[in-house]
Amino acid sequence: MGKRRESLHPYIFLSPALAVIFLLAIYPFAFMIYITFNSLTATTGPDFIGLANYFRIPTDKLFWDTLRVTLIFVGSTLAIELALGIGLALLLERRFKGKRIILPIIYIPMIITPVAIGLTYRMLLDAVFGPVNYFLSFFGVRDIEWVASTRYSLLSIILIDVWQWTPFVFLIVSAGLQSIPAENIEASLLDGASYWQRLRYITFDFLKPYLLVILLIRTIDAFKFIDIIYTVTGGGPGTSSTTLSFYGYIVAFVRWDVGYAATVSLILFFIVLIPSILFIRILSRR
Amino acid sequence: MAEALHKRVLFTIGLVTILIFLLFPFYWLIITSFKPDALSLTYPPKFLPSDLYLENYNIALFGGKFHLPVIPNIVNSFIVGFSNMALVLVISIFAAFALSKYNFRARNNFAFFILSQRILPPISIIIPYYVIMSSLGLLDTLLGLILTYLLINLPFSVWMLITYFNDIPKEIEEAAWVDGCSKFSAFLRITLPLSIPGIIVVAIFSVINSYNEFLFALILTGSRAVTLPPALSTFITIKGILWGQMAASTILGILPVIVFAMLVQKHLVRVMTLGALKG
Repeated sequence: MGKRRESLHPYIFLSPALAVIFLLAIYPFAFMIYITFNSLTATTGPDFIGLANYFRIPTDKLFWDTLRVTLIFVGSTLAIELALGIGLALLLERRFKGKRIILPIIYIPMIITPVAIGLTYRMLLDAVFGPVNYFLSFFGVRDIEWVASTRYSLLSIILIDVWQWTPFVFLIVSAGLQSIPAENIEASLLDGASYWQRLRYITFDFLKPYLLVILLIRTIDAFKFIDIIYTVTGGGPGTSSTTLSFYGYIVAFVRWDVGYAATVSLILFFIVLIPSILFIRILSRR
Repeated sequence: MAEALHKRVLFTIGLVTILIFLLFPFYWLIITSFKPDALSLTYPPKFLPSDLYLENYNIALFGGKFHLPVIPNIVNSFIVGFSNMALVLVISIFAAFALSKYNFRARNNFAFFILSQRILPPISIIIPYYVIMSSLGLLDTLLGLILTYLLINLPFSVWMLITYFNDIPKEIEEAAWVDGCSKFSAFLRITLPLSIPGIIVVAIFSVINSYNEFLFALILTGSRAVTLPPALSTFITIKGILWGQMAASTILGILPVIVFAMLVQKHLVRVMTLGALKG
């Protein structure tokens, strides 16, 4: 066995995976960039139109509206989920009876089919017959049009996402808390540190990489988010709960303005890429 | 003591509140599935079923006047999920072996290149998929979905398997090299069998990923190859939602995922972070 031949081995073993990724990601992605330079509808095209699709972006009010919805959605779900998830993890850090039964229950939402969650919340949030409005009526809050008003539709979507993904933050932060060596905590206790001091100087320091992983994964996924919008609000009313992802879907498969949809989606990709690269950089520097 | 008791009571109340928030949606789903639609549309809502009404399940299983049964869609989801998983495992075991056991120059670049597919929003690639699948005649076929989901599960699986293979101590494999085994046969005989628990976790989770996927399934199927999520989503496009049938179909649909999830529950930290964290 020559040394040179051996050095080829890893490439041979990698080649099926690389071939798949080339065929299923690189080639379609390149093809999509090509589509952005074309006018393509359900019945016509592709006709090469240069950068015309890109020039539509600045004056497309819906693009900027849905971008705004997207940023609100991503920012607020991340903030709420982090706050609740960290709080929950700190609260349930201690031992208590039934912990081993309760934890798996907490994890369920993040595994469940998102479409199923969307349908369930459609029932829960029904303005007339839904139990959520019924409970709220005890507090004097009445008849909120959760999914059918521009005022609450985005909030509904955000709350559902929080319900599904706070458990994820809880799960990861809990794992982070367990990784803190007992000596560090004991030492801080001996030094007479208060609970908050310990939280700030020791716990948080150990949690940093865990929080970064959460930020990375949740940011990527929040930009992809479509299933629940589709099933709960359909992006409406108007575009009040339409994220950029969902806008791409509407332009492509409802309006069949495929060339422009490809352009919007490509821009979405670059928007996701920026924070992702940032988080990965910080993570791999550690 | 008094303070401890007071704290424990508060803690218990907090815990119960959290559990109610988490579980009430499931409770409502179950309750609705056992109610005739007339009882779902009442105010105040009925929180307990009056009697055991099974017609919704009858329709979910065998179909009714307004809706097709959901079982064929669940079968489709299973076929897609398991076939895809088999393909994913074969391809990713080789790739992860290369990336875990060889030291070559571009190793990290390859690994990150494979992972970077995870960033791509599905909407950013689905348009060319639609065009390509239709020109290959793969629209509305299970094969089309089985291939498409490679894009989702391959990066996940490769990264997970790398961490599982790295977990096996090098010394055990090196002992086999001394006995005259080649690198690959040492891997096949030692690392691979020792990694089976990890491989099973990856397998189950890639089935869950396929099972839950919505957007590609919605766009790339039409009638014959429709999997569970797009099938469920059709309930809301019908005028006047059929709550009971929808709830029963949803419950039948998510039962398999809950079973799968129970199996991998201890490995969730690792799975949900693609092996970045071990939990």
